[in-house]
Amino acid sequence: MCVSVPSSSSRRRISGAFNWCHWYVLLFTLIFLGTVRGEVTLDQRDYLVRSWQSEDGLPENSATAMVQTADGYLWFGTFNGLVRFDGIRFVVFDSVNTPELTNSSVVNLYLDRSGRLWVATLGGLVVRENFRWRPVDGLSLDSGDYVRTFAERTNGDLLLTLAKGGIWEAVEGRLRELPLPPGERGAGYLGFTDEEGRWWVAQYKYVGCWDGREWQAHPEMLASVPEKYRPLGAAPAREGGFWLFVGHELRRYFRGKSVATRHVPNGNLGSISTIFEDSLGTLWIANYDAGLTEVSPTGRVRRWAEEDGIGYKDVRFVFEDRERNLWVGTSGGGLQRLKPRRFRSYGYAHGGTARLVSSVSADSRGNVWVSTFGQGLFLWEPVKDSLDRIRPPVWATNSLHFNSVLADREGRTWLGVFEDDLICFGAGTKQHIRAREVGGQVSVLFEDSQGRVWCGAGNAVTVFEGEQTRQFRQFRLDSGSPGGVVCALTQAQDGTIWASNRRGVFRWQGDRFELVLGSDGQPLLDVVCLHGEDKETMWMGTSGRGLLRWQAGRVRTVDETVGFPVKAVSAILEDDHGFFWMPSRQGIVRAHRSALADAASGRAMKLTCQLLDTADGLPSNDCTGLHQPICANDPQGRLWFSSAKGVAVVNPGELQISQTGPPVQIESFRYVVPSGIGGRTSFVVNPPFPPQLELPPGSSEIEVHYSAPNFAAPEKLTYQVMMEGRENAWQPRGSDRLERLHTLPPGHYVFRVRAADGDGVWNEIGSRLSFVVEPHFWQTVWFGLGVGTLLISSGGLAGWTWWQRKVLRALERGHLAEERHRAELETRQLREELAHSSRVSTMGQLASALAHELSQPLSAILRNAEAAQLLMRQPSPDLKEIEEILADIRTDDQRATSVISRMRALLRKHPLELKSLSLPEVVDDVVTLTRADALRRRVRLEVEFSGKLPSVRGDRIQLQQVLLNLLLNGMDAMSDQETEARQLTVRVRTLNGGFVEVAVIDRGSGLPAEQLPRLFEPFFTTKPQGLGLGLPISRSIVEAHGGRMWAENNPGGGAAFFFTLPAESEAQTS
Amino acid sequence: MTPSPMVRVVDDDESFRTAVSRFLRASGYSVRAYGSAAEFLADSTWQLPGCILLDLEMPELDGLAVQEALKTAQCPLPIVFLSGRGDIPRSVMAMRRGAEDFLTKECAHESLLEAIQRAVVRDAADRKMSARLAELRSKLARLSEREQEVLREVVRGKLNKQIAADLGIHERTVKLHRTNLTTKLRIQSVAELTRLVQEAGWTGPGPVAFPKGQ
Repeated sequence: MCVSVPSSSSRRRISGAFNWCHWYVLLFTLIFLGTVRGEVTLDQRDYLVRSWQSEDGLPENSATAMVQTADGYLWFGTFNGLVRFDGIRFVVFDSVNTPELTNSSVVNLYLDRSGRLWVATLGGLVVRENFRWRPVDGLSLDSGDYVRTFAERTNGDLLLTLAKGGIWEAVEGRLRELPLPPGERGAGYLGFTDEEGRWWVAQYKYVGCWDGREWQAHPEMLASVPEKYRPLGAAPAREGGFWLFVGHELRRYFRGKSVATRHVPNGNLGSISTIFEDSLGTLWIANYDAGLTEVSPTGRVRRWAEEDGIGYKDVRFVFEDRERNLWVGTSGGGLQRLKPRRFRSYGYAHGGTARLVSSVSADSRGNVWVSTFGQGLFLWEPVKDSLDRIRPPVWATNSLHFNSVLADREGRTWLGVFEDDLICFGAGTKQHIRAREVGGQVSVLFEDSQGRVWCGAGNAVTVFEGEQTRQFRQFRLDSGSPGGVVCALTQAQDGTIWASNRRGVFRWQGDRFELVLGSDGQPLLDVVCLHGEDKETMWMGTSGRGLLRWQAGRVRTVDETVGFPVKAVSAILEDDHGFFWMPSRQGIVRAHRSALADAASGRAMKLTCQLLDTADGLPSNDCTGLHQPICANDPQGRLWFSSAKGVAVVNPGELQISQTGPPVQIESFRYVVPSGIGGRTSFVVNPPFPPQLELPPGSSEIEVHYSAPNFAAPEKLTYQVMMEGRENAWQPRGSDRLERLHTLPPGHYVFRVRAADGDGVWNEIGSRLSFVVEPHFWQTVWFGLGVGTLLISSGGLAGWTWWQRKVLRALERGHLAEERHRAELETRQLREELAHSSRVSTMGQLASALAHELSQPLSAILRNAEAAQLLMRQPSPDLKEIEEILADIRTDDQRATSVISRMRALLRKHPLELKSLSLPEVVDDVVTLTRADALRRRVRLEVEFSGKLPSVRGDRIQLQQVLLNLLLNGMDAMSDQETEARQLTVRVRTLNGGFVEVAVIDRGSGLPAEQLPRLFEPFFTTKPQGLGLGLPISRSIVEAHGGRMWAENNPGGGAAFFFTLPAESEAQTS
Repeated sequence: MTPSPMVRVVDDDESFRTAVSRFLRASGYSVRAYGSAAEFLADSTWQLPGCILLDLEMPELDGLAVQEALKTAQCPLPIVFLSGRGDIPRSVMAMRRGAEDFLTKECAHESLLEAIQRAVVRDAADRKMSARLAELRSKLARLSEREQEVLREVVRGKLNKQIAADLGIHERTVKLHRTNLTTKLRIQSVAELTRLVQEAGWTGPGPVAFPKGQ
């Protein structure tokens, strides 16, 4: 395989064509260790760029301005609405769902010091404060005009400049228009403020300052600028004052003087939309038509174009969130996130397919040697800051496949060649050590603290001492079982050399490697990397069991049970701050040594650690390399890692790990309440939430939506929730942002949620929402007691009612009005209790008939569903018919529901509720309920309404109860009659004197004369299973309504029960 | 092509009627639905094979009454009863009166289909049988009075000589009548003739009066 690509001058030299072989040798010698450039370039972007477009959920492919509110959300404007973003989900506010936004084209946003969000739309301005929207009155804007800039003093006063030229100030909450300074009419000014809070405006040929009465021009700020350049941009400066972009210079003005200047070559960038200074002092100039320009504090200028990932050249803003991600909004190219890389990576722009970095080693001068498997050898030098391919010496090898590289302190480079020999070169050394001499092809290279180089190959460890590489000693690793290539070599704090292969871990004892045993006296298997902590302690990475901590013969494990995120670790590298960096196939695990020790010893239940991956700038998650050393510390303390797609470097001192975790917000609370007849109503509660939400009885399907705004790695967020009042332990919820609770028993609850960011840092405070699910009356303790009492003593109660009435009469006689009133109240309560229990028992009689009522629609649903199933199995199903089926199923379901709700209405206990009622409706309801029963008993039910009936005032449920009772009695009375004779009539008619009479007439055998007077006495019954309460209760209900109830025998046979109720007009006047 | 058996659904509950009709149609039956017993009795298409799916509880004329009425009208269709609730005494009564099956409305669809299928098969068998009988009866009707008398005697197992004596005709004439009989009825043996006549429930033209003077 040829590896050389001679330069063109070299080519001319070999064209001299004598013995070309000689030339070739000479040529190789000349370019020994020379570099070859061009083919491999450095991937040195400092940011990871991610883009969001319409197809990712933006309402429109633009982002016009951005702010971050205190709750952590990012808000940005588009031409089709205002968007709230939590890193995952876009919530759009537009003129449809937010009527205050009269126009959905949001062109500018501003968050003031008091947390108010100002939303500038085309032709309007809206403020959002405490979750409420409010249009700003008093600002005269025509439809095409908008607020172009906002500036704010430290006291909260605002300066607004309009796109068409107007200048307004909002001082102490009042808007006032300022006079226009000189300048072009109809063109807007830029507004900004200085360190003293003075208002400044700038326009092409004018810069001026407001002195409280008039505009003072500052032509000197434009003085040194050639005529053709004009002031184009301004921004507040982080260090005080403001930045003014004038011509080809950015100048910072502070206390009236220019204190800093940054030169921007080819300065005329066309129209500038905004300028932004980030937290590192870099200025970002966003252009309407020329992309983005980055000007660093050192003056380095970088242009960002579409091909750099910024979407489109029409850039509207750059914004920095609290996690230090930069956001670039464009018109037409969506929204871009520039996330600072934690790792810089060096790969190849035009590399081959085999990119695997096999090994990395740093020498004492700070150079980093990178061997690859298939792409040759590379060198990174600090001065060049680029990874360049270099040639190993010609005498040594022409292979591009290297197992392992080690740069030692002597300045020599050791290189293990795939399936070949070990080479050592540099510092005057030219050494070729045969593979068979070291025991096979090289699998580990290691330099100890005394400068000895150790080489593992096959199951042999060879040590090279001193400058003479020819003198070496060799040892075998013998675990008692065959096989096992040496995979790790390290040195403990006491200087002991340790080695491992898959069969065991070994310690060098002067002249041989001795097997190290675990707590169980067995060899330690599958240990692939070693890291000595102190004399007695050795950390071991395994290929499937996490991390082991060996301490004087005792082994403790750190694995997934304590939250160690990977199973296999390929190396352990410790930085200057005590953190272990452990490459794996899933990325690099970072954890502090003491945290690992705590997790290993059981002192900590949960390990705090991070798994760093491509989202942090690694070129690949697979960082396992090929052979040790696969990672290295350089003299500056930086850490170098090999990966499947290049090499990555991190400065551990600069790594930012959040301390508090992401903010957590509860976004909405939803629940469903049963309502009306079989209906359900959904409720959504949005912030701001009351201190305690109160949910009506029967609330179900509770949903809590929450989110943790996070922008560095939103996809890595994990949540935990706790429902205090039900269970008091955190429940993991993964990345779910929704908690669903089908039902909750009545009680007081606090929903709590917390989140951890991609670095595993929890926001322990999280968010909470307190709520109460109110009990149904039958779920209350009082009701339970009440029912118990009622059942036991219902007889007694009835008797008491009767007695009460007697007492009442006595009291009436004694004119004790007050006493009577109280007694009446008590009686009414008792009556209600009793009426309810009587209703429950009456419904029991109807149960069989109602079951039939229910079975009809349910059977129809069943058959319809089966028919639909059959139809669906046909080759071309008749969709129209299936649709009809579904419609019918719906209707039947509603029918069943209405039966249930009618029943439920009757069964419900409720206080007396007087309403205007239509008697025919009440009668119809009851007749519907009893129809099935009548059919079963073969009784014909007839209803007669005579003439125009006035409405009555009464309680629907109680009147229904009276009727139901009479109808059931009537049907019972006819059970012995011939089928043809069984007819029950309900007749409603108006009586003179403002009463309505209801009669229930049966064709039974009538009432014996001696029974007539006792019919309405409690406990008088003619039925074997009757309680004798139905009629007395009915009469008391009717009397409570101001009516009368009695019974008669019909002239033509059978009995008739009558009751009267006052017509409404009468009831009102009485 | 033979038409698929027709199931007559008689049920006052419209939604159930529609649903079960759909289901049966999707299962491959042709279906005709009736909202009341009266409607069904008025529109009788009994000649089409199939069965009746009859609701037990209907206002006015209920299922059992319909069963009675059909029996009176000699409707041959087997009846499968459906009831909203399992009512044991009435189901027993229905079965005793010859219902094919008695099911609740929410029964498993396998049971329903099985019952319908059984009823349809029975109906088909009944129809086959009655068609055969009808044919036989029409053939018998084509015989002359004398031939019928001879047939009756033959079936009773009498010899030609006895028949001739009983009927007061010549034995030769009897033989001639017998030849005519076998030709008209297309029957070869006396045994077959006997079986056929018994099957048809034929008793001949009634007791024949002896000729006067004997």
